[in-house]
Amino acid sequence: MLLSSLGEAVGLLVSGDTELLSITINSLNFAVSSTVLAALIGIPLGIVMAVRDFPCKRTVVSISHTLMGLPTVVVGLLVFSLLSRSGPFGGLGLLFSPPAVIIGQAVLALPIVISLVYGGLSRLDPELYETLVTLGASRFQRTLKIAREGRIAVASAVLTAFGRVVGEVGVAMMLGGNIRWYTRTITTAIALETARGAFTLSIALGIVLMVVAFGVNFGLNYLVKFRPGSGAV
Amino acid sequence: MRALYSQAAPALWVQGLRFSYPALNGARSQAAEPVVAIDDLQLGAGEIAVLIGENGSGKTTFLKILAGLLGPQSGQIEAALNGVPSVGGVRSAAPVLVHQKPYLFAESVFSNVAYPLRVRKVAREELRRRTLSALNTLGLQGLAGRWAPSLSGGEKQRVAIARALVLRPSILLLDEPSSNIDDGSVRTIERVLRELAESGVAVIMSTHNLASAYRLADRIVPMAAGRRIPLEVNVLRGTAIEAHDEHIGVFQTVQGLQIYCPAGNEGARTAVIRMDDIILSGEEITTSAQNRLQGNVTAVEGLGHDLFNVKLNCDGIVLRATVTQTSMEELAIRPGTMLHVTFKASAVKLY
Repeated sequence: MLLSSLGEAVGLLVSGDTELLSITINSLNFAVSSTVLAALIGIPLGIVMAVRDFPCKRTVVSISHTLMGLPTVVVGLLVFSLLSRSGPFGGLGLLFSPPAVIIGQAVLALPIVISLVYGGLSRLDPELYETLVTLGASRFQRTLKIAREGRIAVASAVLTAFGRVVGEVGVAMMLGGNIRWYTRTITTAIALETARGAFTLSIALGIVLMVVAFGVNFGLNYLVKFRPGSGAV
Repeated sequence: MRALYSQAAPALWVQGLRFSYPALNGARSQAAEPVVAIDDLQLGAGEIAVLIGENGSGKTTFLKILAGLLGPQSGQIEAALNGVPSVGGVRSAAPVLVHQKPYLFAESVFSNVAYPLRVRKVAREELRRRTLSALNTLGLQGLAGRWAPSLSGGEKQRVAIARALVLRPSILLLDEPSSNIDDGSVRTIERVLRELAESGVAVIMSTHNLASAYRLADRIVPMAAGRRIPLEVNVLRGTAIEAHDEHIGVFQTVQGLQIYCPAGNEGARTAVIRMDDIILSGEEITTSAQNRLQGNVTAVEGLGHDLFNVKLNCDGIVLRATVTQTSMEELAIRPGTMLHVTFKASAVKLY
């Protein structure tokens, strides 16, 4: 049965089935948007944590590290309670819409981006910061340069966060609701189709997801091996 | 040859400086001993001051304070900063520091050196011209396109100095610029620092390398435990000229006085005599020592532990000798006393 399904799945992939395409586009759209959102907030925060001293810094770092292991269903629950009709942001009517999934996945990705950017940049030479100060760079210019010097760490952080959100099912299910043509993602579709016994679409989607996941891992490996000199992490 | 002490307005003036590191646990440190305590240091435009001292003597910390990287608890630093424009008033300009192990950005040598101009939004043509000129000064013109992190230690040090020079600072700070680098780079750096000083830049550098310090310094600033300590040597400028005979050479000071020194050092520009090696006497004494001068005591300074530092004017050159309390009394040394000054040719070290 599995073999015949696999054959049909490949056929589905080759034929460019519109539902398969819609689900894949949704998944990538949510994952990319949430990763970009998390990167926009998380990269500057990670840099600030790496280059500046502030009260309770170690506590903040520990919390950020701990939150990397945040269970997806807990994030789903948390954001659900905020966005549900009776919640504080219920009036926005976002629940079971793409923005809800993106927000939830961004919450999931944020601690990963912050922690990995912080970890990578704090291993940069401390003299980088002093050099930038003595050469007269402004605070903003220093931040840009530090991110550039630690660009490999920053890119790894973003890719890791993307890998985490593209393959998660809890947030997408709880906040998106798995609505066909609207919020259905690869993971929620696989969960539903498999439960229904419809393996063909599940397997086709599984292949797509694995290609994406392997692609991200390949990119990470390439980055880690690519260390041009001492400026890289 | 430059004057030993410039008469111009000071380029840098440090007064009553006290710095201690904050306690690690964040608690207010209980009046910890300052790690740097410099009561007074003045440096004229075009002067080179060299900080010498052991590891942990506070040289690096002092340089970082002067560069504005560390904030002292008290004291004043006044610096003439006409060369370094600030960026949009975000941070007032300060002397530029070149670290002991400079951090080069992971990009080309040219981009590294151009960076300080780029952050100041200098126009492209001028940026290019000034960057290439700084690279030329350090003999790096052939390396402009190279990937900076792949350079050798000496090349990296030169790139870092070029990156500081591109700003045309009026005060340049260097932390151990000649440690762990090849002789060729050391010579290039020494030549560049000399040229910079001649163009009016005040240079403060720290070093372990005493020979380099004596060759370069207009002023040697010995440090220990974060404080200035008295210099224990006389440093004379001049030229080692033709040998007196095969064993003894002659060093002619810039003031015109000739002193005997070991032969075989023709071309040396600096003579160094330890203050301990100078014998003062009321009458001329007959010894093996070749250098017999006469000097007029101009100042006497207590060093503690019953030791005194006597400053004499010997035919235009200033020499300092260390004597004990007993000798002070026996020779009745006070300002104005005429004394015979004797030291061996072999006590004169040439650099």
